[in-house]
Amino acid sequence: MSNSFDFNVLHERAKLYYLVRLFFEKSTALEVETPILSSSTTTEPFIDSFDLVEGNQRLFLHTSPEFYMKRLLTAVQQDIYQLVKVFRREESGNKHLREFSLLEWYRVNIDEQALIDDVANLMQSIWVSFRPDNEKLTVEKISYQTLFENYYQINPHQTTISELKACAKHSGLISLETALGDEKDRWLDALMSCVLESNLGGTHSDPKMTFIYDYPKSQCALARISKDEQGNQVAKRFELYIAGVELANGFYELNDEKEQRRRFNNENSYRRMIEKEQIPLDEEFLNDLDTLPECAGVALGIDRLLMLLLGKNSVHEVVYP
Amino acid sequence: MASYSTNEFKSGLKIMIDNDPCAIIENEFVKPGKGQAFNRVKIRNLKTGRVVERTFKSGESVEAADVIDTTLQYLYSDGEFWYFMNTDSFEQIGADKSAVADSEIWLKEQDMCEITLWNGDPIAVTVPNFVNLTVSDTDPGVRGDTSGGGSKPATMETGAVVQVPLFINIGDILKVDTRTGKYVARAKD
Repeated sequence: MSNSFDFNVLHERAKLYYLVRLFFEKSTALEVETPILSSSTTTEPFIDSFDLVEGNQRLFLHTSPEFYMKRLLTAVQQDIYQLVKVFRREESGNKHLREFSLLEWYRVNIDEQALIDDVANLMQSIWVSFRPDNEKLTVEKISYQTLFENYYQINPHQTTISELKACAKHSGLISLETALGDEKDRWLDALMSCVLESNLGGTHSDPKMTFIYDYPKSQCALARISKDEQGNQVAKRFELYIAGVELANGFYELNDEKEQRRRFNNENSYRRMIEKEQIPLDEEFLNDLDTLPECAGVALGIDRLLMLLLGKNSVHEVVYP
Repeated sequence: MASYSTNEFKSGLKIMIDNDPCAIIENEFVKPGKGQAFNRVKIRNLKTGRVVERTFKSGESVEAADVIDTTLQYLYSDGEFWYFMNTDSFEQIGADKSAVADSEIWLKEQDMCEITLWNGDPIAVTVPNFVNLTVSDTDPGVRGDTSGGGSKPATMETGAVVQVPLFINIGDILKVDTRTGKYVARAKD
């Protein structure tokens, strides 16, 4: 972390926001604002919300504008986007800020594969404007399964705990044995974020866009589930990596209230197991979900993108002070 | 026993790893958007000096190492132990060969050294970056040659062998950089 903020970054950030707005103006998406305070929040077990008290009401700072944007989308039935600060408790590091800027957008009548192309187009338009050589980034798409097959020779959808532990051991993650127990998803998290991630999206000197798609069903969050070519049930979800940095996470959005409620309840059960508090479900969001139009949505970390564009090593270098 | 949670991790923190005291050099927080967070740390084993990487699940607790650095005066060695004294309390402590390690050849009586104590026992001795040592043996000096054009080995009073300019004589006091083992200058005494 540097003590002296480079004020040129302000101009670069303003330019980035201009380019984002230009892209969405050309592709006819409406810029929107949604509430930052809400009486409900995410049930995600590994995302912790800040909360505030007003009288006898408890309010949360949003960790993403997802719920309100989907409700708005249901009402307006057209492409929308938002640039907004979001807040997550206890996330701090070179790639994490507890308050950070998110670009989130939704496009109607497309799936996650079409949205990947949309993300790539946005990124190209930004990248060439920031790079003196004006060179476009190579785009590569790899399924989550192929990624694990290539690196560890395992199928992540059918793997076993002992296989995953062997992979972790092979990669030097020896100290996690007791901490992670027998949960496959936690071991997949460890391999993904501690080993594989740093190799995705090329390097700082030779970056490319790597999209990982078709996540394990158990990591579906708010994405639809369907069968892939081999018949595995996969989550229609993708992530974008550039130079080892996770930049975006997108879904072919689930619009099934019953299924979404079941997932929220499962997350609350998981929270109980790891001794975290229960989150009251967002009933208004759930009420609208069955009428959500066919759509895909994605959230992109603006501070991380700016960090990469400016060749900085930490997101702390692109925010004031 | 005291312990630290991963969210207290920062460089310099002393923790126990595999029953050895270690210092954190680097701490990186990694987290997939929706998944479990981890702390990837680079740590130095304070006994061996070796640097290793470890990964912890965020929120885990790790035993704290009772390690303190203290500045003590070097007194003498009996061949098995090197004795140091706290100049306030006059308390003496003996460090063994594994603690003294490579510092042995720079230890001069009455120099102040940094001693790392783990549970009260010395595990590492850090000598000052620069020490002034008397030349106990070297080839005769070449009179008038102060150009520094050549060099020769000189044995210092502590046993260290240092490459010195040709004009240096036995009995000269030299300033030496203990980190590089290189001659710096003649000390004005």
